[in-house]
Amino acid sequence: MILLAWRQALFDPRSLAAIAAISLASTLALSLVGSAAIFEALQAPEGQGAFGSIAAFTLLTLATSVSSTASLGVRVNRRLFASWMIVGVTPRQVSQALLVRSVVSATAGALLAVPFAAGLVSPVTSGYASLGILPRSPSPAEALSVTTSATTIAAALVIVLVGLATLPAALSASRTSPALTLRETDREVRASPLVRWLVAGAILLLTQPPTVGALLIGASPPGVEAISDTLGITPAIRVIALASSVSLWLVIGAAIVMPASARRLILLWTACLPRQLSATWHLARHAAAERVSVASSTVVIGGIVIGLVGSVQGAVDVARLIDAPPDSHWAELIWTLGPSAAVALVGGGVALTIGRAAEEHDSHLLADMGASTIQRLSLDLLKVVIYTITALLPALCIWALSVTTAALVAPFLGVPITPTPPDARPLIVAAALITVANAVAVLGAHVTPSQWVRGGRDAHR
Amino acid sequence: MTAIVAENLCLQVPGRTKLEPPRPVLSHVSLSIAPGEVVAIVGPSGAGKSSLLACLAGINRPTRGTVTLLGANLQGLRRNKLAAFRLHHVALVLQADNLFSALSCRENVVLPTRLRHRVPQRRLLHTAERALDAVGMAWASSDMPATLSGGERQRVALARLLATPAEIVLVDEPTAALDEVSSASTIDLLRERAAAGSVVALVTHDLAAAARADRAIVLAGGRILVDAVDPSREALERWIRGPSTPQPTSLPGAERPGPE
Repeated sequence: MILLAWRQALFDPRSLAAIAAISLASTLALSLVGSAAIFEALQAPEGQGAFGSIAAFTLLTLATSVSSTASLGVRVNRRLFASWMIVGVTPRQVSQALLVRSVVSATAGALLAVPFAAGLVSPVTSGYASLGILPRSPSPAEALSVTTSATTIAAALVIVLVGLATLPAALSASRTSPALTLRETDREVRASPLVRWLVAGAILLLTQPPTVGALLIGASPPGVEAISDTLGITPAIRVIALASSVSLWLVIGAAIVMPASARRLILLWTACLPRQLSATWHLARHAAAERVSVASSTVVIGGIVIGLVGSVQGAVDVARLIDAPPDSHWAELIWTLGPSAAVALVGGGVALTIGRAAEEHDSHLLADMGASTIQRLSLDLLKVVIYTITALLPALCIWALSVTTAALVAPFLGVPITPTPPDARPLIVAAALITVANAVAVLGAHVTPSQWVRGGRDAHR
Repeated sequence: MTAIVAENLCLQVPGRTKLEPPRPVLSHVSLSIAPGEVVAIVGPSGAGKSSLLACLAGINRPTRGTVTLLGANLQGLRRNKLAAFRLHHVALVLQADNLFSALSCRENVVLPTRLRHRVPQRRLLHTAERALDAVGMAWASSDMPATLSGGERQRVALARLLATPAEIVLVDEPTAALDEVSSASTIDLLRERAAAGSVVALVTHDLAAAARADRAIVLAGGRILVDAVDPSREALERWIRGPSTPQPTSLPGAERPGPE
């Protein structure tokens, strides 16, 4: 059993590294949030509520990142599992192997977080204090000191959650049909869109009110106070609503809808451009639409980054509304959201490189055919552009939906609502990060030697 | 003019680790193929057939020796020039993974033409339909490769080759996944292509197909064992499966039997 898990680890080390890194960042984030000193520093009950929602958000980010990475790893390695099953490995052993592997990686990452928490908190907080982000007095290193119990609880929580988040991917791997999988090419099996849309629609309908309430912070600041008075919403509730809405966005956008809709979404918006733009554009459009896993992973990163930056902005807005001094509330929010952002970026970035392995095939096939370096590069760069725009589209749609709903609801509340343009900063940050992550993956594919040079046609499979 | 000339080709592939020494794949291989010829490259598994084909296509850079296609020395071409040369003069079909999974069969067939230059859509469609019809796959024109069997995918790749007007045609195992009838018609198509002036080199394990070639080159242990004109199937079997055939592992200093 252990041997099987180890062999799997050898075949897919990037997934392992991703899960370990996500666990490390999550343990750090939770240790800081769980530290009693933070609650003391905050003093205000709203702040405690905000930190509770941030801890929940970090956990959800962890679960989404791990789940996305694990399911991507399963998709990429499905032929491997089929080969195992052909030689007698049972479905149960396959799922156990994946679970053991994830838990071992999570444990390694969580253990690594201990020296990080002990050794890095002091210099980093001092640096933040010198930049004016954290208060100089009391000493930030003391205020944010991480206790052993907080780290232990955080590590245990992370390991358990990683195991749970890997479970769906492990069960999916165990349902691999060897005959079908080995007969198919690398085309990905598409999820059933109807069920996913129904589930996503139900959740969206149930939770639209908090989503609207949270996004109003960015949409129409002058109307927020009036609405809050009418509905009796406190700033803390708004922060929680914001965190829950972005979390909801992640769950709906990345985990539920995107695997079933990424293909159609890509084909839909790319259809606005001329179909016969060039051969590489045509290929990039269809290849991007077929690589559902890469598109979904990109959307996960986009969603998380937009959610995090939006959360910080929302928190700053709340701090401003309640006239709190900046260094007592939102600085800590930024500090605690930092590791959570790292969780998302590490997980998403590595997930992209896992998905990239499938992209190498097209690039090499094009090279064998005689396509120039420019044509090959343009194929990959066009895919990057397609993935990036696709990742940002749902955010824009959600914003439009929320603002429209708010504008429709406002007359009944007797509150003037002026829909304002979306704040471009989260989108710009997300676009930049996604583009960088994809560009790194593109370069990775280009420096990988051709299948022939590596001494065998199937050497890279 | 000779279309393909390979002189003293040697190829080594790097070891899997830095400590592992390079593994010799081809050793002092020289051959020439004229336009209109169909040449079958045969031999036991691991003999270096596909590697030789990759060297002839310019995908593999030989460790030593030269490959000249249509008078152009591939070793003297920079990477982009080499790619452009391959795009315009070489049609290549590999043993597997030939098709882009994101494109339909029709789009796969016309992709090399579209990469070369802009062609009206209607003309492209006509070319694709005609090529697919020639290999008996017209019915799968708008199907995706993943929905086809291995043999059907191979035939679509062959249709792409037919739709590409290249002087040099290199095919790796074109009949591997085909039944006897399809295999025979594939060889017919390749012979027609050669009759139109192209040079055709195919790597195959199918001795019946190899016996229909104008020439057969038998490789063993990375060296040319036999280069025979109009080979019979029995002779090919004897050369490949004979007890004196050197094994790939016995390459350095192996005793080489001469042609009959």
